[in-house]
Amino acid sequence: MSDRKRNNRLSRRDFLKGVGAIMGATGVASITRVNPVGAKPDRTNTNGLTTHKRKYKYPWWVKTVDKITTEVNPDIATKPPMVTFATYAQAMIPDEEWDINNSKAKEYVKEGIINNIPGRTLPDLALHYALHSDMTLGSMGSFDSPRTVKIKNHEELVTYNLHPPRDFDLDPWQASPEEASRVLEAAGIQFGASMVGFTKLNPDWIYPYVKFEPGITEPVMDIKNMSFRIPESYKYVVLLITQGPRDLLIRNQSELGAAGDRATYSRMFNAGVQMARFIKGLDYGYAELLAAGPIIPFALEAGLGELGRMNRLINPIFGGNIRITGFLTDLPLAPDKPIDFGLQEFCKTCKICASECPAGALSMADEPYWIPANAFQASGKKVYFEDNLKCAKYITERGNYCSTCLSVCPWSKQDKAALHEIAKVTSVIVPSSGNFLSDMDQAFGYGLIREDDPEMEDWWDLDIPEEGIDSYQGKA
Amino acid sequence: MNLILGIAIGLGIAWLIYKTKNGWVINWFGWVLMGVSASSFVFGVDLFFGSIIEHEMRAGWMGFGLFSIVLPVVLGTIVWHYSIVRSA
Repeated sequence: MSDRKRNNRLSRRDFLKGVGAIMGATGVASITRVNPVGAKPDRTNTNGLTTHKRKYKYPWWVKTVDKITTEVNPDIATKPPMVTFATYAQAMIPDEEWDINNSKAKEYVKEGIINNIPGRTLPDLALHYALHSDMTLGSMGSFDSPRTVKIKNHEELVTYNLHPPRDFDLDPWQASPEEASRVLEAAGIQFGASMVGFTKLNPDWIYPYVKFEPGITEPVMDIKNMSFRIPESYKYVVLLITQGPRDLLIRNQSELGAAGDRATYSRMFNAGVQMARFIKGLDYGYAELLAAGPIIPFALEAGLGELGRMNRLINPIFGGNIRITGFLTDLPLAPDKPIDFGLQEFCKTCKICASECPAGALSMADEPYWIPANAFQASGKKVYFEDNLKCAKYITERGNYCSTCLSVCPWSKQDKAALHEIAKVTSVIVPSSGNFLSDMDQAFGYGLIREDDPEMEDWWDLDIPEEGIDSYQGKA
Repeated sequence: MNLILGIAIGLGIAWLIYKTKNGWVINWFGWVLMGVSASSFVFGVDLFFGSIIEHEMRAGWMGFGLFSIVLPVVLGTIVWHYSIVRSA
């Protein structure tokens, strides 16, 4: 070989130098994104409180930030006229249409049973109904949904056979806010929560009919007069997220998918009741957050995820396979900080939830916007407002609860294959990769299992863990 | 699975060392491509077994085929023809 030819070839030294430079640049870029050079992790929040030291740590590519990643402007915020004591569907759909939809749903359900349609057979339907909990009974996930949610008094469940220190003439449990958060997190995970987060009460999110009063010691709910009075000392918020059975949830748009959704709510309800009992057992008070305000903004502030295109919480570990519950309490708690894992940029190009939504209810816009889709939505936030009336009609006409948007989200994968972690890291380092990653997601055959898919009824033969949940997700 | 994978890779490396001591000369990009092939193979196997647990067999077979068969075969062919000088 001549010297000239030899000189034109890439030498091993140059090749290794190039690889080293690329790897070094990538490493520096990723470290800079997660933790700016020279910055020490800030352990205080804007109120000067020491933040909760999370036991369940996020991976390195999730960074903590001072404010939530969804743009909000309380100055231009309006609150919807009727936002609770009925689900949004029950509030929006007129009476006569509600009855028509329930009739359609009954026919739809019957058709599935008679024709043994995969995902809608009698055992599938029975599983769906079996997995309802006390909380979801009476919601719109069945064809005989009542016009308004039956508000059940969970006080009996929470206080039954419970003996707080006052029963022994002792004082309530005393602990620092950091200690209290540590203990509540450990207890919450024992109760079935996948993660527990804490934040302080932000009055911007509270419904207009809620009043915080100094003269009362227990919350007082008056459904008839639409008022909810809460003791002024309830300034702290504890939030729990519970994950759902993925194998059922990817069979969405069927009774099996609805069973997965109800199972997730049941787990959430059970964990919530036990957390309320725990707080009462320490001799502190609680009020259900769900009745006082929308729960997602508090979960964002507690660092449990970011808001996705579908206007639901997306957690970096569990994606959308989660449901949230929370309580206001007077037990002082150390708050968490919001998190940022690049979801806002990712959602701009991914759009898989919107394209898969069977009701066509989700926005395909390239950027979020400030204008709500209808009067039932709160303004003052820059999001991809959805046509929730379409969503509600789709659900009520079929009698089974749909959560397709959450199940198809690329972040909702399990973590047993390294591919998912690589995809998540890629989306954090290259936020505009959403479109590419969602294309890859479909090319690899991830996504919903539908009625016409031979795998639909295979669920009954799957080897699943208890309750269909991998409780080691993100931990091992 | 990890044990079997480790034994397979160990046997592969032992075979390569044996061959390089008995007449094979492999140039530097041959080693690089073999490293990429081995990583790709391991990645595909991880995806396959991970997908079994996740009940995502379509993705498992797709990933195994792509990363553990197609890519290593293509790269192996290139190495076989262009990177190995057989003196014996």
